[in-house]
Amino acid sequence: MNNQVRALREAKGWSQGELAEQLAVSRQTVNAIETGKYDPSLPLAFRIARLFRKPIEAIFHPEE
Amino acid sequence: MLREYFCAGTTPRYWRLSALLMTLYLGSIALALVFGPGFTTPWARAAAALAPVPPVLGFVVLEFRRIRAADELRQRIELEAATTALALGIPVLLALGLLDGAGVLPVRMILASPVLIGVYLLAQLWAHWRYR
Repeated sequence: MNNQVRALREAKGWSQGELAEQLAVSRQTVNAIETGKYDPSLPLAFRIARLFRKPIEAIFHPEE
Repeated sequence: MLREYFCAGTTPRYWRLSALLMTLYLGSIALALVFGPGFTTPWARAAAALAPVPPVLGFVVLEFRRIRAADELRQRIELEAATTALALGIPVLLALGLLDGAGVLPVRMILASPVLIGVYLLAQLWAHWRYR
């Protein structure tokens, strides 16, 4: 799954650690999501979408 | 990376309980070694020999709670490590058991726990490395 998490985080000027803190996950989890090594659960994906005030499909896209 | 790996999901309470359980574990082994041979009844010898088991069960409960409190990626890592360790540990233990049965290599059953723990730790490092 591709995602826009890194671009959205950098646009806010947050570090991975700061984003991790707001999502109540580890920095490793944020890094793994951003690099595409780990697809978040649906509840975490919704938390990410809510935090960035975007619909979930604007952040996560299936690989073509 | 290793600090992040070993400290993930831990709290000061976790480390205090770990230290307490490790003290109990080492103390029970020392007591079993010092006083165990002096016991004459089977029940007393069994109690001395099994004294390290409760602290180990305490470690299991402590780890279980730490994993339940961890975030979802850490839980995924633990799950992958556990299944990998099981898949690798069973053939290793089977091979050791067969060698022992054939009289080629005498293997003590007590080695099964350290072998499984060692394989699990290696599998954890591997799973952690995959998502680094």
